[in-house]
Amino acid sequence: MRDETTADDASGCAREAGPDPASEGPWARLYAEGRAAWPDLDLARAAFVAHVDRHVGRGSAELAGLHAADFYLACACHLRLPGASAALQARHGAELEAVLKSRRVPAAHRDDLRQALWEKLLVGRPDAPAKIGDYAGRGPLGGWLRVAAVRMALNFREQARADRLVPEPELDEARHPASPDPELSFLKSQYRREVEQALRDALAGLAADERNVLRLYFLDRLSIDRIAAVYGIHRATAARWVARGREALLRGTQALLERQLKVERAEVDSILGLVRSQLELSMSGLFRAPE
Amino acid sequence: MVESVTGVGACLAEHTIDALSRGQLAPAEQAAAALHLDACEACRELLAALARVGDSVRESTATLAPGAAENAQPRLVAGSRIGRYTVLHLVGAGAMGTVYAAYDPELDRRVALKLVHHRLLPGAAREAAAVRLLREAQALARLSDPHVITVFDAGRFEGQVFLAMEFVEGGTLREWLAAKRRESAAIVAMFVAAGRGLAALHGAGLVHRDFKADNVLVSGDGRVRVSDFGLVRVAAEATASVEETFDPGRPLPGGSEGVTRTGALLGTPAYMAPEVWQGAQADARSDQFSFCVALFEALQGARPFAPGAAEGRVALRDDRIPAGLREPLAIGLARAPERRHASMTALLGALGRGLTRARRRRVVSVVALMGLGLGLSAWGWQQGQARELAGRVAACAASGARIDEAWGAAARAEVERSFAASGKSFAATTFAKTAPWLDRWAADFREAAEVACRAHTIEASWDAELRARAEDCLDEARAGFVALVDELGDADAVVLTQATNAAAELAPASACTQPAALSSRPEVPQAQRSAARELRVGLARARSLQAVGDYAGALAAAHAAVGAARASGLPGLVAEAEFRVAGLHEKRGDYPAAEAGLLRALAAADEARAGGLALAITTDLVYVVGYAAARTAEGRVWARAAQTQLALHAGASPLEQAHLDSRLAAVVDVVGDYAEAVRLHARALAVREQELGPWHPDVARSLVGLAAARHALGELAAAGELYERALGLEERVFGPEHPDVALILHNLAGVRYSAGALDDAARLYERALAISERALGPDHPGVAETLHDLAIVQRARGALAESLRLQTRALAISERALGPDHWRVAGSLNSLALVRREMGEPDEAARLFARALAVFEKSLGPGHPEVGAVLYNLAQLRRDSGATAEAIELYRRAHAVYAAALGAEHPEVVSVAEEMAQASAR
Repeated sequence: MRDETTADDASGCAREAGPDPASEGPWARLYAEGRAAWPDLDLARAAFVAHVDRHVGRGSAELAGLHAADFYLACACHLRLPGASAALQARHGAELEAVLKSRRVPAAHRDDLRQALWEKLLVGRPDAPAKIGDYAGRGPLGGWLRVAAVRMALNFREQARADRLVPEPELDEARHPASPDPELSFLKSQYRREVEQALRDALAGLAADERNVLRLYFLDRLSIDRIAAVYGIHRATAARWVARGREALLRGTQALLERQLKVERAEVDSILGLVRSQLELSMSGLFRAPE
Repeated sequence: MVESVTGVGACLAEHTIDALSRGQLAPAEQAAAALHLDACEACRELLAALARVGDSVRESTATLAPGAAENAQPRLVAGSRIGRYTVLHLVGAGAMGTVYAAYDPELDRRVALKLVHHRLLPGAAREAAAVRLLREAQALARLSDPHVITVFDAGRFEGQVFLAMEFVEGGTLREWLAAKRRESAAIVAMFVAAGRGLAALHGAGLVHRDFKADNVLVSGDGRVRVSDFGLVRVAAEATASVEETFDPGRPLPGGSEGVTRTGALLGTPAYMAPEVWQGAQADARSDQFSFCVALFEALQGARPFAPGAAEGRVALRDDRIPAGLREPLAIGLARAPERRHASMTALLGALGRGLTRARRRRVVSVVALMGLGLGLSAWGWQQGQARELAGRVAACAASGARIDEAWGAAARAEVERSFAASGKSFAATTFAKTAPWLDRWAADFREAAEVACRAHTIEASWDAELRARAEDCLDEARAGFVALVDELGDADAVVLTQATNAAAELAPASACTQPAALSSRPEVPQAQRSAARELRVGLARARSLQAVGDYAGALAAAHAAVGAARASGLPGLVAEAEFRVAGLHEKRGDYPAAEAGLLRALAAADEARAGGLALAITTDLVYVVGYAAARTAEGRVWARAAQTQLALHAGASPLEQAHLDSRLAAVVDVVGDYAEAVRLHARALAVREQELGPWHPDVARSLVGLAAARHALGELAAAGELYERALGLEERVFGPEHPDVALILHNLAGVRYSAGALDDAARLYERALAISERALGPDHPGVAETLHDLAIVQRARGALAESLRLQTRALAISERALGPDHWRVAGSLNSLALVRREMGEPDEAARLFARALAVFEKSLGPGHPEVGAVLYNLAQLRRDSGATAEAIELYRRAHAVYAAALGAEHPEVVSVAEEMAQASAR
């Protein structure tokens, strides 16, 4: 199922680049580096240059910081050079497997997902060229691949959900409860609106970074360590932001219950217990509510 | 899905997110990315999903029976159904059957499904053979041993027999041996573990018949399980059956291993004992022979005998076998079965001693070599290595043997003596029912401690941190066990009734070998480790005291732990301690204190992000708030919160769902939603049966709950059947003389009474009464309850004198045990009055009704429906004796009480009003 569009694009870039006018440019060093890293992949210099042009521009200052070997490999895959896909799979297959394993996919669907991910990445479709062509060499290919694979996996999930081919994982049902429960509805009608407003007010007083970290904590239930790792901040910072945000949320709610709703002190504790346990739900409802 | 949000730009590019994670974005880029993430859910989800990559549990490829896959003709494809199981993929195929990985939707877990080859069961006797195979699977399912793979279920599929077994991630012992060069001590350690599995099989009257390294599974965490029961036969079943089952004329299957089936010969010739080769029945000693061949092969690299016919087997070299092991192996390989070791256990003991002896000898030789100079130092070093490893293996065995101090012959005798000293009728049975739980627990501990030790010191798959956590966990588990054994060694009547339950509910030590569970334990700074361990040991003790009903002792221990936890400043510990205290308040009926404590525990658990603990606490809140405090709406909110946590808690076991279902069932039962209670109890029951096996006290609890809900729905036949199942189970688990058995008989009698089967009901009450009197003593309030209900049945049967006798006794017991103002006393008075009325003694009846009325009003308040009931009874009595005015006044009071309690439209209220009108019209 070779895709004509991509093929034309590939050969086109190779042709147009033609004999290169600036054979001594910084890209020449990049090409040499890439070639040295992948001696078995015989990528035409012109094709490589064309790929650089598509992403960076030949004279760009960014050129110097490009990850040459990774970019070379990605270009070779994009151009469907024999052996390129195999080389990519051999080098980075583990990254993709790690992504697959982190997804809560039933074992039966894992093979499908793996197949779909490689296909999107290396083959593409008429309306969506192979994803590997997007790699611009700005960071290590492994990291890029991981992010891309996670995104594709998420989209795959969305797609599957839309198609109703894959049963929706229970996790999401729990996270977006439709609340058919009359008691919960009652509680909501009593306090939920006020509580949500209090949470909203408290959130508004925080910085965007802190809000993001709080969401990762409450909505995505990441541990402090994982948040620190993925948000590129120190563990202590993440912990501080979470503690501060949680404090602000609870303080805001407590003040609101006591002052505005005239709830008795003893009852506040009981309701706060509820709020605390329902914080995830409140938060998710809050963030999902149309602004 | 939101792809981008106006005003904050397009979604973040892959390299931007990657750079963000690595902290390599420029400040301006970082700020822009933060703004985008603040508004774009899709990108944030992506980031969150990315965070989860890389630390997902490494899953090794599953292999159950590798090798012969090319011979297999898989008849089932992914998605096929076998019973309730959905086939996922083929795992392997051997001579005996095909193994699939399958999914069990009911319990949401993966199982290994083994289909036994059809052609192995010869046509004529196929049905009988299948039945026998099923029976054998049931024998295996009853066997619960950490070294034997667990069989969950067995059934028929298109005539074929299938077994649903535990799915083990990992490989076979043969693969483990082949993976790299293993030290002989490590090899022996693995075989000893497998040997324990064989010993357990033998103990249950089973014979494996095909032991070899290929039939032993080694899971990712280093656990060893004996598997492949294709050939296991119930040993007691005599010889002749084998010829019926297996057709001697059939050719060998085309496997490379040369598995044979001729006559009684079932197994792999190379590992087969000579007497089996010659046609004798396989037994525990032939298994011992196979075991020794396999161990010999693993150590030496070649089998002990030259391949070929049974006659003229020749022993080969044994120079690679540690000297101390040669003799025990030679004995196990003796031609004559009677010259082998007496049992697997004896062999394992000899192997252990041999290993230690070899070690000691090496110490001597190394010391001697020290003097010989440096020329031999390399050799000495190598010997030192081997010695060191042997030392580590011995240390791991010692680590497991710690449990012997707590549960050895002396402790066992002490418990038995203490039970007997109680003088209770059910003491001996209770000991016989309790000891196996303790035995199993101790075996589980031994295994868990060895696994943890091996994983760290021998296989080096665990780091010191994980090991330290495991050791803490094991210490706690052991402390709980020791406390229980202590209590049982000084048992009073209360302890005795709770003993079996308490033993069954001990937290299993095997949880201490689950890396996922271990890493979810609250993190404790190094400096506070020993204090934390001490605190948890105290909590484990409190748990055991609670389990045997010593609430005061448990509360003291738990309070001390709360104080220590608060002082430590570690929220995880505060949560654990508060949770235990709250549980005790709950048991003692102090629900406000329990609720307050649970909320404090939950706050602390949230702070510590201890998801599993928060789930358990929330589940208890469902019960305490929704049922005990009767705030049902709030209880359901807690249930929903628990449900959410359950879904989000990775590592949650189906049992936690079952626990939540049970708790919630109590809440919905209170509000009269019996259909929902039935659904929840039934779901919990299914899970518990699967997870705990059919003979666990928790299964009985679910059965009783389900029966009560069905009874409330008026489904009397179903309720009766469920109570009978519960009865059979409890008789088996606790013994027929246990007071809990009496309780079920009592409930079952109630069902029979509702169905109008009065004779049945009377008989059941009498059985319950006899047990209660023996177990609890003749003056126990529980005895009075049964007397009360039996008296009512006797009255309904017209046996008025008998009813009078029983009810009078019930009254006397209640007055003595509960005091004269207890509502149970009033209940007996009311029933007595009714008997007197029927006996034609209206004055005596009126006097009794008046007393009943006074006590009900005092104990339950003047507005309680019971008060209305007595007023109504009295009104009827007055009406019948012609005192109309008095009757009308009583009807009026009864009506007022009923209407206030049940509402004016309630049918009973309406009928009281009608009777009142009729009386007035006279």
